[in-house]
Amino acid sequence: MTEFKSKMMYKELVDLYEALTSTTKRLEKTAILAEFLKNTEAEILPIVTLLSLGKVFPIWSEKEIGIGLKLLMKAISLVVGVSVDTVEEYVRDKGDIGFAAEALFENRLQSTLFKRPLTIVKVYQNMTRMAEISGKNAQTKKIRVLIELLTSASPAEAKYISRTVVEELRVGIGEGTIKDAVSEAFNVDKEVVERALMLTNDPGLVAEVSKGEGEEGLKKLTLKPGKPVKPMLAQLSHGIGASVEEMGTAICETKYDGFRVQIHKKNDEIKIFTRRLDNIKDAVPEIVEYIEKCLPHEDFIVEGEIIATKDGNPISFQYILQRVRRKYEIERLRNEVPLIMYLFDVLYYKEPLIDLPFGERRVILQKIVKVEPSKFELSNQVIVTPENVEDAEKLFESSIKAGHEGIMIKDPFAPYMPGIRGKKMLKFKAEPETLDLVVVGGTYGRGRRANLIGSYLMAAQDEEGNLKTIAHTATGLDDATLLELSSKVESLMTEKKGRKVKARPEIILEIAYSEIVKSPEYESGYSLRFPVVKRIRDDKSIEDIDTVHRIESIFNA
Amino acid sequence: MFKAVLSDSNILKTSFDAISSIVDEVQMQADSEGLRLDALDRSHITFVHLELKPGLFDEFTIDEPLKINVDTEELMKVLKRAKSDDIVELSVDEGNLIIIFEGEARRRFKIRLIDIEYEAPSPPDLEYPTQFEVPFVLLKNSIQDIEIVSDKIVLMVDSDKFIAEAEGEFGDAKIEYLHGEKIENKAKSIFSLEKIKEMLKADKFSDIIVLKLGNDMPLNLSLKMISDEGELSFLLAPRIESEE
Repeated sequence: MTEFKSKMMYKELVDLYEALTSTTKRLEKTAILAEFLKNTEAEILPIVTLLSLGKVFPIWSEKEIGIGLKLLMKAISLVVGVSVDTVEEYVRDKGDIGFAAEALFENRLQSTLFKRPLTIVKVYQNMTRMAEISGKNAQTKKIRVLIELLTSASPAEAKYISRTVVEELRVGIGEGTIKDAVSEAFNVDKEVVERALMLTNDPGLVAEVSKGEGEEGLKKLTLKPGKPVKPMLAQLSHGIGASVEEMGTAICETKYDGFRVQIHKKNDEIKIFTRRLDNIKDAVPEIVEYIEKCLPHEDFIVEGEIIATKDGNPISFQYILQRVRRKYEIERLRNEVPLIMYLFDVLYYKEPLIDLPFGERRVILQKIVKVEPSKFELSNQVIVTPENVEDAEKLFESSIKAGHEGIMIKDPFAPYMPGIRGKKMLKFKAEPETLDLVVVGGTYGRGRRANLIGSYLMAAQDEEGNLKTIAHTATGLDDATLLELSSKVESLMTEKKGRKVKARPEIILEIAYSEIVKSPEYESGYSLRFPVVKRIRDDKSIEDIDTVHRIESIFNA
Repeated sequence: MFKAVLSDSNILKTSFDAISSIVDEVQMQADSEGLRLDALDRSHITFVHLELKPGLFDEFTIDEPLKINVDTEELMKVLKRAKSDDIVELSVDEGNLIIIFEGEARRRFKIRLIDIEYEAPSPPDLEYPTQFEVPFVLLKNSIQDIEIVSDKIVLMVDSDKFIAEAEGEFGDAKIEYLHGEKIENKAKSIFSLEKIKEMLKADKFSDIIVLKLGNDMPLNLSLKMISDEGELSFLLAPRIESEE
């Protein structure tokens, strides 16, 4: 375990959380956070940066604390000296584990023999320790380490320790605010900070380098195989002709309806990251075999789409989720739902390539991949200019006919821009646009369906990452998926009043609709007519959900 | 070089029965004064102190003071294997605590030593208004009686009696014991029953318990061997609540 000298108290961080909560204005939040980061000792700056986001590890890290709400409530009950039922009652009353812990800690019934004020380092070390405990009796051991923190906590400290443990800090700090605050605190350019964040996905590291080495240091940060990069994102094209016209020359590729992944290889260790930056390597053994066989034994990062097939034809996206989420019976499903990998970009090969134009990256990709038909392929592509735009249209038609989603239209001269949804990469789809929204609650059915959450309350995010409700949706799912969704939402439940429940925002659904309408009933000010669930988007995370801003612009268009 | 031989294996077994249910990791200190440990549970509610003097051992040799850090659960697993007529021998090598049971056969176990960032806590120094003795079995039985009605226990003492009682949702229980000692003060505190049960797992250490009780003060519960060569004692933080 790393030794730290810092004696900075956890109370100071808690005071920061409280100050951040006291305002809803993003500029104020940024200023408060910037001031704090500026005054944080260099040694613990990475930790403090992550903790201010409510995280202990960077999102790509496979470490997790592994304490659910139940175990946390048990720990609180033991420290406070009340029954677990009482803790549950408080959580129901207050609607949040943090407020419940705070209230319970105001009146602790069990006294202690010693009090040791908590340092930030102590909190961080115990959280890390919980993540490291595994195997037999892991739960018992984890809870002890948690109790050690809680027993020395003040009511306000207990509130934020609890929220950090269940990964729901609720102080309204997202990656955007972190970017601005780091920029402000260490006087470095916002765009340089943003690029560094997109490349490393490590806010702690970015803050540390900003403080220590400034802009020059940040610019030297680059992608490293083994650590996922935010994928470059596509805007919607409103017509193939117009888009090609605007771009001049375009590389058009089939848009596969599957799972976008980044394949990393470092010292012969392979990792396959989803857009949520989870490593799914173990669920897709055949892809790993193909990678071994079809790609060179060098360090690299390539990007592509995995699709599920039946009798050689692409099948619904839901099937690939079955594969990717799988922990057991992987071998059986491997035969039932074979996967095909289509690669379309290379970000690193012996050295970072993201600053090369896409056209050149594609050439390198073609050189290093040994194609294995119907297993490990390169995306289907044509190069078009306004003169031969019909080639792009043909590609679109053949892609649709083959069961794919549409086409991508990419600028061959553009560098790879991690995390940016710009004009250098467009998508043109056959189906109407859908929205990715997060489930924040729901309503139990009646009668035969009284045990099932039948209707789901969906939310989009505003500029500051606050969730704003937009619609209830009740249709579009088959029984099995509905059952799964219902029990998932139950496991995330934070409040239950009558038939209505609130849930931690973790499940993303893709929603189709007929029309966006103004509505005072929902927090976003808009609602959807005829919302239908298209699918559960396990590949997306809360940061990926659509914004109120986008909904507004669709409404206005 | 450290070697300690103990002909009564129950002493260690019964001590660690209690210790392992209170703390998960401990540091034992061995020196010319014997074997000793001070530990605080992670919730800072119970403090435990064990002291075994050299005279208690059949053989006790040590060159220089030694710190032995162990996972109590692992140690307990081994100690459970001791038969009551086994002779126990303790020693250490690089990174292990070695425990040998000498009986019908010679059985040797090694337990990995662990790293712990250890700040040996010193217990708060408290002045108690009362001190008295009760038979171990009496307290153990009282706990079992009280458990029927509640998970909390009120301990009281006055000039005549030691009283353990509890009020529960579905009934009450009260145990009175004439202690026959000279006590001038009254004292009363409330404790978690579960925590007292953990301490009383050490049921073969001593027949007599020395209790020190104050008003809303920690409970001092001490088990002393008649020979004065060994002591296992506990300090338990009270519950803070008005009587219901």
